[in-house]
Formats: sequence, structure tokens, C-alpha cells
Amino acid sequence: MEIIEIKDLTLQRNNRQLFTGLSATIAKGSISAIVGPNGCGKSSLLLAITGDLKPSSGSIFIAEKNLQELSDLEQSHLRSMALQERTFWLPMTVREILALGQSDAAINQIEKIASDLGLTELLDNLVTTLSVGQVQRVEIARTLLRDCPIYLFDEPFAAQDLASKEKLIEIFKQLRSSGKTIILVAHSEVEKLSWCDQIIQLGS
Amino acid sequence: MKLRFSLIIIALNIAVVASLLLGATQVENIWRYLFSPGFDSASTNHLILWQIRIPRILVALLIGAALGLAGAIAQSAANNPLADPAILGTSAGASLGVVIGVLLNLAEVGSVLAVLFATIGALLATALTFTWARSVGALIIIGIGTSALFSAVVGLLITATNNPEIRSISFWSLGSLALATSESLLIITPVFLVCFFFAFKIAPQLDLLSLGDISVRHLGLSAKTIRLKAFLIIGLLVAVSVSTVGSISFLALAAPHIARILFGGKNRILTIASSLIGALILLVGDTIARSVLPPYELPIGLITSLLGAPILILLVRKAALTWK
Repeated sequence: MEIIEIKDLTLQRNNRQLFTGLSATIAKGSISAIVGPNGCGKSSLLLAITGDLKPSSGSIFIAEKNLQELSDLEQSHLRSMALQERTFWLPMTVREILALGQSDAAINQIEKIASDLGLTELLDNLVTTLSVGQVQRVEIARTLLRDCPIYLFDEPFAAQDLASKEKLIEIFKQLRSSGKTIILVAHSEVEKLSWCDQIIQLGS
Repeated sequence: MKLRFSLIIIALNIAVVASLLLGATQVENIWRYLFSPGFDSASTNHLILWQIRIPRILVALLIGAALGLAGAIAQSAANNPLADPAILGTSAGASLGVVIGVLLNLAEVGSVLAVLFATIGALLATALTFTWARSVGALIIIGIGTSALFSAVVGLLITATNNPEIRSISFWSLGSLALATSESLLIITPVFLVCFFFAFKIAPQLDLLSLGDISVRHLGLSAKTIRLKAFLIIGLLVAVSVSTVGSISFLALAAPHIARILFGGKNRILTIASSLIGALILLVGDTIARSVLPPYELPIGLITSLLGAPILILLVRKAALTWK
């Protein structure tokens, strides 16, 4: 059963056309990887699915509802996304960052998710003192703490070592087993993404 | 944390006592005048204590708290540790608002109308900074530009009109508490209390801005709406400060940084801590400014920089406050 349907989508950003006429469906409880060369619109496609980037034409349906007709609050219940760019500029502890905007149930899960992502030792450190890879894992942990049917990750492996990458793949597979849908932007070559259910190739 | 709060409260009490005792004129029997307000009420000592020194101490405490609070909110609202009302253009906008109000004969420095003009100027300048800046990185550069632009217009208006009512360039660039009176308190006190109440109320929303605008939207909230509320509070706090005592530099940057290092980054704690630290720095600064070279006064902005900058530099070096 499909949870996301992309119909004849054209995206434009900063007056530059990224792609035209993209159609795809994403099944519930699957892992999809968006791949393609730099600048082809991979991250923009994620932002279109999250409703942050309005399509020039075409539409996106999530759980059979047109995304453009849903309020920000309604959309927030559908998905959780880990951004690639750094957004934590003020000195707060990792624990404080992870708790921001989370439900009480999610806050009770902080220790477990931190342990899964190798962040336990860093929970009381200032986020401003972490390395790029550690900050990326904080962002991924924050995303995983929210309970949503769809999870999106923008280049989650970009600054991770091999052990962290394998751990992340394991976590994504566990999410899939529990019926969640995962979409990620990857730079890996297609043959290295065999653990994914679907590859969405953008660009040439 | 309780110990740190207690130490700041003790320091504030010591600063208040020192500020009561120090000044160009030695007040004999000061405790008697203080605890028996009716005692010898026609004397110069009574006048100095109740009409000059006590209102000035209260103005220093409230304006310091207002600037400390405004700085803390500015950093959180901009999600940028370098943001403060001076850098975002808010202070220069408030100065221009008051100068225009005075030149049009619609307001006097320190009056309610001056606060209104200052608020309009402050909000206009801040809105321009955020409209022109397309990214968090550009915010500071654009803010410095906006601030320079508004300050230049203030300077030109003061020079061109030669109107003593609009005060000197020194007042608008370095500030002065010399003309603060008990009437000033009637405006400052309610504005600060109302702003503090709303700042405390929106503090959890300000925390969320640390995640960045897109992540705030992903939670179903609007970063713009939260920021707008923050700017209204900052605008009012800076307006009441600038229209009463001019622009006091550095305080709104130093106080929240010191508060963040001592008490962490959650905005509920920051609203209280940054207000207290701002109040302490300004009271100590003003006491030094008026008692080092009596009967002359040193510009308060210089003293707040001299006090705040070394503390800030030392703490930041020690606490890894910025990115590696």
C-alpha cells in the first residue's frame, strides 16, 4: 500500500529548474533512497515532501491527502526529518536539544536513542562543542524521537564512520520492520543501496 | 545553580549598598534617612538620597535588567550568539525614533511618547535587518549595516539641528543615567514587568528556534510568529531603555552570554538570569561612572564595556561557547 504519491512534479529553486515531471510512489513500510549528481534536486525533493518547498507544478499526496491542502500542524503529525545543514548555533546541551518540542513519551526515550546512536557520553555536553558527525547524529536522534509514519533523512551518512553507517542502516531496517516509511538522500552508488526497497534516480 | 543565583543576589545587594554610599556628595546619617523616609525631609541629604540616588539606582537596575533580557531574547530569536539589539539595528532605530519625535516637537526624551517613537524606530530597524538578511550568517553583517545607517542619520540630525532637547551624540552612542528621575521609573517599571511576563511566557517557544526555522515548521509551528513576538518584546525593552538613558553599549551582548555560561541555554532560566546579570553590570557600572571622578561622570557605555568585555572574554575562553 502506498503512503506517498508524487504526481508529475516539477521543482524550481532560486530561479533554477531542478527537474520536471517526476512521478513516483513510495510504499508504506519501505526504505527509499533518492540518488543523483550534486545539484539535481535530491534535498529539494525531500523538502517538497515535507511541504517546505512548493512545487512549480504537480502534486504530492501523503496518505491520500494532497499535501498542499494540509495545515502545518496536520503535516507535522505525518513526518519527521533530519536536515543536513547545521542548525544548532546556541550553546545548549545535547539532552536539551533532544528534548525540544518532544512529547513526554519521547523524552523518556532519549537515553535509549542516545545509546543506539553512540551519544550517551555526550548527552550533557554542549552541542556547540561536538564534531560535525556527532551533530549529525544528534539531528538524527532528534528525528527518531518523534513518532511519525514517515521519516526523512538528508544525507545521513555524510559525516559518519563505517561503524556509525552500519548502525544507522540497522536502525532504518528496524523502523521499516515496525511499519515506518523511510526516505533518505544518499550519495552512495546504487549497488551499495541494496538494503533499500526503492531507488529514486534524479538527474542523468 | 541555586548557589550561582544566590551569589548574584548577594552581589546585587552589595552593589545597591555601595551605590547608596558612593557619590559626588557624602550623605551623613544615610541609614537614618533611608529607614525613616520622613526624617529631616527638607534637607539636602534627604533630597540627594530620595530624589537622586535611589531613583537612579532603581533606573540602573531596571534598565540593566531590560537590556540583559532584550539581549537574551535577541540571541534566541535570531538563533545566533552574536545577535544583540545594537548589532541587529534595534538600538539605533530606537534612537532615531526618539530624535525624530523630539525634532517634531511631539515628544520629550524620557516621556511615554518618546517610548512610542523609539518602539516604532526599533521595530522598523529590526524588521529591515531581518528582511534584508537572507540567512543566519548574513544577519550580523546586515544588522551592523542597518545600525550604521540609522546611527548616521541620528548623528546628522543632531549636528544639523543643534537642538539641545535631543541631547548630545555622546548620549545616543554611550548613554547616561544622569538625568534619570523617579518619573522615569513610572514608565520603565510597567514596561519591564509586562515584557518580562511575556518573555517568560514565550521562553519555551524561543527554545525551539534553536532547531532552525525548518525544524520548527516540522513541529507544526511558525518560527516567524515566534520571532515576531520576540521582536515586539525586544523593541519595547530597547525603546524604553534608549528613550530614557540613551544607547548603552555591550551590556545586552555580555549579560546573556554570561548567563548562558552560568545557567545554561534554556530561555526560562535565561530570562531571569540575564535580567539579574544585566541589572548587576549596569548598577556597578553606573556607580563607578559617577563616583570615580566626582563631580564629573564617565560615560556609562564605556564602563559597561570595560566591565562586561573582560568577564565575557574570560568565560568564553573557558567554556567553549562557540563552535570548534
